[in-house]
Amino acid sequence: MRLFKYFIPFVLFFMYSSLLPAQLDRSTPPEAGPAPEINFENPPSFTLDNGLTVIVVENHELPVVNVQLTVDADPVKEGDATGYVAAAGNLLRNGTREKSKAEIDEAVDFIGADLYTFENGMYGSSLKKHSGELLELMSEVLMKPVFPKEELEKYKKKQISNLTAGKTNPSQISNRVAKKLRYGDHPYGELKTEASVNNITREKCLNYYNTYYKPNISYLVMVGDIQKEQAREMAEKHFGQWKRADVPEHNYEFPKDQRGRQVALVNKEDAVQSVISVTYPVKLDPGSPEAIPAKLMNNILGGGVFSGYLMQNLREDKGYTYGARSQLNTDPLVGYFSAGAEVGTEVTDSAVHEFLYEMNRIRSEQVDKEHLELAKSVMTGSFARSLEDARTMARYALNTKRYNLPSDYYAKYLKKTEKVSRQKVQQVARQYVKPSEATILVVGNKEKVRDKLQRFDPDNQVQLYTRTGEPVQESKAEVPKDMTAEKVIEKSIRARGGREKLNQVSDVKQVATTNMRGQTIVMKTFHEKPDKMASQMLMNGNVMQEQLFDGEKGVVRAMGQTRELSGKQLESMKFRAKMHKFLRYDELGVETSLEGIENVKGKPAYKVKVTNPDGVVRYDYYNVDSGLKVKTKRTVSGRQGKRTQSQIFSDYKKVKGIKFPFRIEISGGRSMTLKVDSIQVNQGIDDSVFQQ
Amino acid sequence: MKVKKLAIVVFILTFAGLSSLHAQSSKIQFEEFNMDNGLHVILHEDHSTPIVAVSVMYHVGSKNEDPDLRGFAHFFEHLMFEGTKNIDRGAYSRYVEKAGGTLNASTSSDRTYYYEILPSNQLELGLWLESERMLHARVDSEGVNTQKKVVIEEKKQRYDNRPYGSLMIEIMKRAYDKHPYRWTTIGDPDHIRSASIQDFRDFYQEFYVPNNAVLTIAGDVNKEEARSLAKKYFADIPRGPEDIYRPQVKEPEQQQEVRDTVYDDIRLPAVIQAYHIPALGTEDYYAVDMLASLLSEGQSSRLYQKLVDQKELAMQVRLMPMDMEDPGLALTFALPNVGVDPAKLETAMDKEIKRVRNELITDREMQKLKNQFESKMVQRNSSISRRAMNLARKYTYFENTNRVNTEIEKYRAVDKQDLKRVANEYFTPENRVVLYYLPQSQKKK
Repeated sequence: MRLFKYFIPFVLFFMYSSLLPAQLDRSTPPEAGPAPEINFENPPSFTLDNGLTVIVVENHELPVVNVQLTVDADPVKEGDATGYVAAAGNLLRNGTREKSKAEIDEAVDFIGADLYTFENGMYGSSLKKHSGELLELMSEVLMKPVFPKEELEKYKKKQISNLTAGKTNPSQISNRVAKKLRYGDHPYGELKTEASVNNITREKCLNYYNTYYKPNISYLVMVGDIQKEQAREMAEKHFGQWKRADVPEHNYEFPKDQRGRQVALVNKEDAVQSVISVTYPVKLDPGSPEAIPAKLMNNILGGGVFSGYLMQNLREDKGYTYGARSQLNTDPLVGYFSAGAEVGTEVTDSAVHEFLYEMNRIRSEQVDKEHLELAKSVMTGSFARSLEDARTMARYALNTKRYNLPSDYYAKYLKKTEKVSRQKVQQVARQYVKPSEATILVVGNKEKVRDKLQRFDPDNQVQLYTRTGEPVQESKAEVPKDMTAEKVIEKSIRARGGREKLNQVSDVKQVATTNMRGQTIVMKTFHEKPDKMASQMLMNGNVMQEQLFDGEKGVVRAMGQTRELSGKQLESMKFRAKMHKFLRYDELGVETSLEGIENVKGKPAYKVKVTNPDGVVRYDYYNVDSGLKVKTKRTVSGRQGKRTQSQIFSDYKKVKGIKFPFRIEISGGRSMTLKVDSIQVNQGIDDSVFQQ
Repeated sequence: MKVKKLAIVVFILTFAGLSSLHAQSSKIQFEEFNMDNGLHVILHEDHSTPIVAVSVMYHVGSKNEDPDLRGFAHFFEHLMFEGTKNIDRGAYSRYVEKAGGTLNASTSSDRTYYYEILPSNQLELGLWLESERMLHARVDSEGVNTQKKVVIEEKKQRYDNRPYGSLMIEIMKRAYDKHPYRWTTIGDPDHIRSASIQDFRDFYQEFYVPNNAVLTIAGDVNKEEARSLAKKYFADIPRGPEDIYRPQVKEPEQQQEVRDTVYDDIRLPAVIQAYHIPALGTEDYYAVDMLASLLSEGQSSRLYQKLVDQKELAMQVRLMPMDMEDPGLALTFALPNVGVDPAKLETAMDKEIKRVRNELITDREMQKLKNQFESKMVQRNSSISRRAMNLARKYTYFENTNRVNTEIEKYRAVDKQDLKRVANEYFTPENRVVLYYLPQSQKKK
């Protein structure tokens, strides 16, 4: 849709409309007037003798002054006392050499000011007429804190209460666990817990403060109704005495980011919604030339308010959620991608599917022109609006310094946004949107969502985590000492109806159906002793694909092409076509070994490693109680690298006294569920079925 | 929209030079007028940033709902993004985003507010969009069915699946017996689910009319142009019925304390006290607002200092008067530290309330309150969009827009005796609801 087909100068249009008010045509949107200019300048900055960088943003709209101090230290590993860096920051304002906490509180409140201190920084705000007093207080808490022991104990008690209050908040649980799964051993992945808060000591806080709170790695940003020269004087006066010193630097390895897709679940029993987060770490420096295109790309996917792919699909089309969004965060050390929503429990798996669908879509399809233009306008408009607030200007100035951005980074921001092409969007999408490397984290009702989520994991495994991100070791049932692979297989033979009955089978014909993109597909398989086999895939009664083997020769037919099997493939076919091999593994040279017990669909199953004579390995899983085979899994190499394929068997029913699975879920590559409509045993099969 | 066509020029200009003309006065200049169809229009000019806020406040909230159709006002807020006669489904927000703007809406018990913030050359687009919404919004089954699902998920996300999320619902239904404040804006999903298209159309025709709305245009515009454009898009919208439903229910005075317990999926209990207070804009409301600050604004406030810092009973405590058109509530919300008996916390809260009822506050405290409110009044008008909203509210509730400028006088007029008087008048046990939130595990079987 074109909005601005006709160009009518603003004034002319205006006169016309006031002359002929009755003629108002409401069917099309009005023309825009000439665009306003967006002004951006880098605010002035200077450095004090002690190395403190000061940035001043003047804005005289309101008689208000804001002051922010940032200590730009590298993150440290806090280990079993995680939280002490934040504690050190918070406690700055809780007692100085001159004032108790109560005295500081009173001083701040009396002038109607705000003063917050936090991890590596502080923020103060007051009316201009009180800004001198505010700065004096800020200077005092920065340079003369005493970290009173009783204040630390109070702080710890509150922190533990706070953690307790958040324990049942699903989005908080999700944020914490996502952090841990995303960053692993990196300091960004450290979580505050009751235990770690208990380990915080005054010494740790004091040491941290003494080592890292130094002017030469810090930034003071002064914003509002203040002149530059006045700001310089005040900065000198209140922060000039702060002593410079060398500060240790730290480097960390980038978290493991090639780990394949995994599904992680945190159980919250009574949840009526699932909090979904599709997330992974990203290498994206704020100053990188990709940062702006990547931000634009993320806006198209899910950063915009209403128009993003995710919002349109999950909210406006499907009604699964109140809101679906994605974030692509830049960071000089480790950035992240995260797409998420809170969705109804019953649509959890459908919603995950749509997230992956949209993530794949932005990689595989070029964004259409209209949508790209819209995303650019959203970014341009949001940039223009952000300049209304002087604190945003200050943040931009601070980013420029902290992240070593080119000095004209923000001045050229709009031009750089405008230049991004459709190709570029797709290129950065392929680089930064990685559905196959994502952790799909769900916080929700385990009983209701777990099984449905298995299909998103290449291994069909949904790993459970605690609310603090520790993997749950599930009922690792011990394998009974006298149990062996042979015994497991014998038990399964008995469970299916017994060796005698199975030996009497001479042929099996199975008809199953599945659904693929709304189409019903029929799968027929024929098996005849000793080693004849055929399978067909039909759509609307037409054979789409078939594979035939008559005991000696085999062919594969697909899309009208016929290919005869030869060499290794033929040999493998000869082996595969042998009926009921499990009845005589010894004789066939198949080796088996019992690997342990793992859960399949939440139930313990023996895991048996099966090695064919040609060395090909697969794993079969047998339900510990019923003895029936519930799953088989193998790894295959394809063009896209190695992947795991698995089949899950359920709904066993008896045919001629023998149990067969009537439901088979296939995953890895294309996922589908086969529903068996009929199985016929020993009804005879026409030989022509197996022939070309 | 193409940015190039708009020829956005980025150039350097000193910020100080740009804005030093404006100044220190925190008075908001505005003009206003009525159209023949009853629409009230407020214009506020400010050229410091090239943006404009276009907003419409409809004087309808959940208190205007039929008790059998709870949640309608809020549901409408969702429906009003679905499109109009001339705007296809889903295109409403696209127009705004294409123009480089942003939009949203909110619903309270008393009003529903829609706004667009646009580059200032797109003023007319904003007016076209809002006039479409007022004149002929699309109320059809497709939009209604999708938004039904979305709103039901919104309720789960914000109220059902959050610790303490049901708090307002639980408080309001106990604090009010007759007045429609007894239900909250999210309403009842069953009512929303079972509502018919005709129910929605009736609601629209009654409340979404010019004589029930305030249009505000604020920002980088020329007032005269804005005035003409407002007329162009809104003057021919027909006036609606005069007998708009406004509940005249007066909640009977509460005679005795209401006390109850809610068991929730939480690990840490919470104590909530809700006192009935006078309506927004009454003389006593200002005194109550200041009393609330005395008790919980800043770390030197009485409740914070006593409960959090000195006795370490609470992790957090906050007293907030709700700014409601009809007599509302002042809510105290306290979270105890782990292991603290909520009853012990409540006793300590009560002690502070008794103190303000029995003793006058000190002169220094009074001065502190005045300083805090002076700062608050300045900061509350810090952006164009906040100013637009404050202007619209003052007209909607009081038909006196200039209250944005005169309210500070009301606060200045409050004295120590007033604080003691309102404490005794409203902060009494008979006049409150006390609710304990406790973990489900403590529920007696």
